[in-house]
Amino acid sequence: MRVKLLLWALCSALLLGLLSGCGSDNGGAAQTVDGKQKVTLTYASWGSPNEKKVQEQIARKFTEKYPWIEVNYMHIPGDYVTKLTTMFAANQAPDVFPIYKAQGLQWAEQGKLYNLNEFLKDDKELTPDALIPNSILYWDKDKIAGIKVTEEAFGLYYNADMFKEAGLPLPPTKAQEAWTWEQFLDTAKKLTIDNNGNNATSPAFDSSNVKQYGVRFDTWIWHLMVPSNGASVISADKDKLNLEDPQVIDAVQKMADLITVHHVAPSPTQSKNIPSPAVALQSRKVAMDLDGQWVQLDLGQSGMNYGVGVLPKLKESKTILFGEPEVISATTKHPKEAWMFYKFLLDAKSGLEMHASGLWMPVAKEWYTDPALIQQWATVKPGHPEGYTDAIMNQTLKNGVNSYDYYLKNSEKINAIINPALDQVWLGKKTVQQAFSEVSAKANAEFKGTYPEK
Amino acid sequence: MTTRTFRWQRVLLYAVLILGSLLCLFPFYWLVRSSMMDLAQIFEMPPKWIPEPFVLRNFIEPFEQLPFGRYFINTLIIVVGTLIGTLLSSTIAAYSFSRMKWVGRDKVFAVLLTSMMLPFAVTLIPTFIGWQSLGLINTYAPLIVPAFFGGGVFNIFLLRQFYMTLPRELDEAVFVDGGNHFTIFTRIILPLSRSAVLVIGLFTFLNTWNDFMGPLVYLNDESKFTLAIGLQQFQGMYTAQWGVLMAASLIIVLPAILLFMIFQRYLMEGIALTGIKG
Amino acid sequence: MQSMTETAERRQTKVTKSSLSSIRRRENWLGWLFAAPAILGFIIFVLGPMIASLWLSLTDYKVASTPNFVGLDNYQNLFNGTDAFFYKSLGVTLYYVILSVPLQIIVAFFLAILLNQNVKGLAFFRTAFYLPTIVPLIASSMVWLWLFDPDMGLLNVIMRALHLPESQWIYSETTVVPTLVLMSLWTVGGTMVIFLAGLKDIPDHYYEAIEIDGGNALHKLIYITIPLTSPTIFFNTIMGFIGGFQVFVQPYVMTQGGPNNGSLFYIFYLFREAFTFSNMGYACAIAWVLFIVIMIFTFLLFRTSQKWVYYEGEGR
Repeated sequence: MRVKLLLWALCSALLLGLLSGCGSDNGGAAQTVDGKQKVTLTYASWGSPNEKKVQEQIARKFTEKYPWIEVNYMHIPGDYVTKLTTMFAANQAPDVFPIYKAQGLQWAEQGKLYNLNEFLKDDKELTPDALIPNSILYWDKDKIAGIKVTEEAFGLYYNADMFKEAGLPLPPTKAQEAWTWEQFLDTAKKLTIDNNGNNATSPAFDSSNVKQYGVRFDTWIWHLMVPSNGASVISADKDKLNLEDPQVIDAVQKMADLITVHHVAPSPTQSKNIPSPAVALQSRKVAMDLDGQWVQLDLGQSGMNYGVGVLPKLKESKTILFGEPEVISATTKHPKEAWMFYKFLLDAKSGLEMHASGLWMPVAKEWYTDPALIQQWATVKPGHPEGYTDAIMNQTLKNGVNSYDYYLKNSEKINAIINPALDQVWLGKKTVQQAFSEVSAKANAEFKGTYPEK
Repeated sequence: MTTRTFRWQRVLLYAVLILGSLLCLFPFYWLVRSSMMDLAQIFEMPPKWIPEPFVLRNFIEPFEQLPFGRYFINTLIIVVGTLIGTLLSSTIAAYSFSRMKWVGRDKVFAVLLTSMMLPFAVTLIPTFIGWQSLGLINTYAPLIVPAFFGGGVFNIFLLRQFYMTLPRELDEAVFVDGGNHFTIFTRIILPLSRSAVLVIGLFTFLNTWNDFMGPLVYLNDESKFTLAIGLQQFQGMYTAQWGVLMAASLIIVLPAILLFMIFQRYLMEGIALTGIKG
Repeated sequence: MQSMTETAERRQTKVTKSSLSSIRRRENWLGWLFAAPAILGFIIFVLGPMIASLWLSLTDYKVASTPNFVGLDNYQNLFNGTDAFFYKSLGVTLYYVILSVPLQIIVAFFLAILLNQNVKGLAFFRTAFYLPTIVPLIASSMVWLWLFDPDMGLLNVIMRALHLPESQWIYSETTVVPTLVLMSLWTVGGTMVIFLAGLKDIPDHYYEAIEIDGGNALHKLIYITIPLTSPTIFFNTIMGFIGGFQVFVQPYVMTQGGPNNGSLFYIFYLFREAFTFSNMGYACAIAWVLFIVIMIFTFLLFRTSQKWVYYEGEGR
């Protein structure tokens, strides 16, 4: 009896749902607005519920400005590439969407994406000079796969209270004052404390019972210090991977030593238990975090007293850039309108609240140079700490270097060979030199050339 | 068997059951615990066992950030549709594959079985293109309709195994009394395999309830999204709101747990063959 | 049991030969009719995509580009060792399957027997044992990551206290697969429930008969429980193999194929080729190799089943 009742309830819920679902569909006959043919674009993106809300707002604001262009926003909360791949295969790709750099370049090569240079070369409003350096992704000479929709840059984030309590000077924010590796390591040691209260400079330091680590970083950013060592993962002649270059090896080994020799950074194993860097800093598991500027959103929301400095330097002060590109699919039926929306997306004014929150960084140069614009985002608290304008904003503009995967063809596959080799490095079983020399030939066999810088 | 060894066995039995259920309850306890904590507490080491303070806001946030009610109804539509389709078609198909004798039966069954052997990753795109050519992308049809066509080989196979254990004499008795296959199916086989049918209902419910990939690929409008997609949204690109994520998981998992608690009682009742022997 | 066969036999004699054969003839097309939805479903929803993927496996399809026919190149690349990940992932997956399937079956069967006893709080125990299957992986993986932590994790703390050797669990190339097998035992709830349903269908008087003959619990297990649940054991074994070869989510969430490809499961590798590297044609070839492997395993199991699976309805 009870089962029957339940069944009835479920069936009526089903019917109700079906009815209300059908009601929302409306016929899409050709319409005109303001004397112009009505156009509908599809815009897809990833992101948290907060980002989703802002994206919806951007789409709405755009239609307010251009009433004949409607933008359907499609939120893809997971398995982003799988869904997009499927849509591409069925010729249903969204008109505009952000994509991971390696995929974007690869897809552009395969003819799935629009060559944005066709718009950019004649555009009066948006010119390459108006953008910050490194923001345009070329897949071939003069062929543009996409432009970064927001920039992403690395810095040295820290818990300011922990520095104060330890009586240590805060990390410098200006490039010319950047810590040397030795200064950085020394600070990290002083901030690494074991269960008995000894820090890592003490001979009694017990490296197997560490309560607080000096620094943390994600191992996928193993090449963080390579540009600073005046080197690159890709050889100068762009004909192979530089895995046997002593400068590259040295820069990666220095990162590994933080974990395996000096014990001032948690191993990947240990940091798996603290999935959020912001939590690690806030809960005093670590004092410093080598991380991208996007952590500011969480750090700001946590209410903690945090700050940011420039990365330590080996030979010269550099930061690595990571922003993902926004692209237009080659199959779009409305390229002109898609480009109009594209420019609207790139304009920091459109999603200002995400820029102000600390998560996004603009790509138009004026936002880095015009004080009136800067104060609308780069100094807004709590998403931007003291020192941000120097340590991240100016550093991005002046000393930013694109991560090597913007230029390396077949980079996903090459990474799939390099990363497992590095696993043994983080565990302390092999040196970087050993690991790289073992896979260098295999990785180079997958080397398929590079993408141009312009 | 003396009563002493008997009692000893009981103690051992309870000990194993209690220990085992503690082990199994642990991840669930962790979910409940974490759902009431703020971000810093969740990952504290050594871990905190009891939230302090209790952050009940985590349970309000999912409803504020996402249209959970809408997602719930959407999920229910898909679940109920799939359930009806699966139960109807898999029981009938299994009957044919186990209780009826027809030329090529076992070969056809073997061919059907292969549909589970090719990974979905490579059939996803052709299947999608098929639904697209029917103009049914962004509808619930790709998620529900297949259930009415066999309801999955897993289910057919499972039911077949159960049907095959039922004595054949039962069928012949029905024939003698002038019954046909339909009478055997509804009067004998279905009631006798109730526990297996319940199991299939349970699995179908849970799979559909938790399915993420299907709805993600076939649905485009947010107004058609399901709970599982909603849950994924709390794991952002750059940040995860762990406490909220855990609370949302708990909200989504509770109906499934309640359902199982009701369900297992019926499973326990299971019908003994002795009942219809005479 | 005996009385039942007797009545049936008595009735059967009343049915004439000719009416039986007409039933048989009708059954031939009725059988197809009953199975028609499932067969149609297979042809519409499965066969098409299967053929499509088989064809794509002979091309260099990259999604949205026109596929070029390349013959058996993709398969050649797999087998001649050009792709170092292929044999590695096949090995990892085989290791997992061979280790996990028997263990899962035994543990699930044992639990089902325990939960089929007449004990107090059965509803609670059953729900508890099934719970890990319902809890979303995102929540349970958090627990596992902590349990397996070599320094602070509960497992190593216990090992230390018992003076047993500690393990690196999922963080070492050699222990990652056994650890994932151990983890998979937590989620045998589904298999257990199928066994429970199977156990429920064993009539009590079978056990009573053994008791009368003075048999103990072990006799009951060997002579009644196992033979009579052999159809469910068979089912769970087949499904265990098919599922084990296609294990994806746990390694994807917990280890990302690492460390040093120690948990590079086949489907993880396939998925990466298909969606990260966009090598869809190649991925189809990878999938078809697995298809053949699973088919052989399933075929062999079906072959052996005639020896040990007992169907009461078959009347063999």
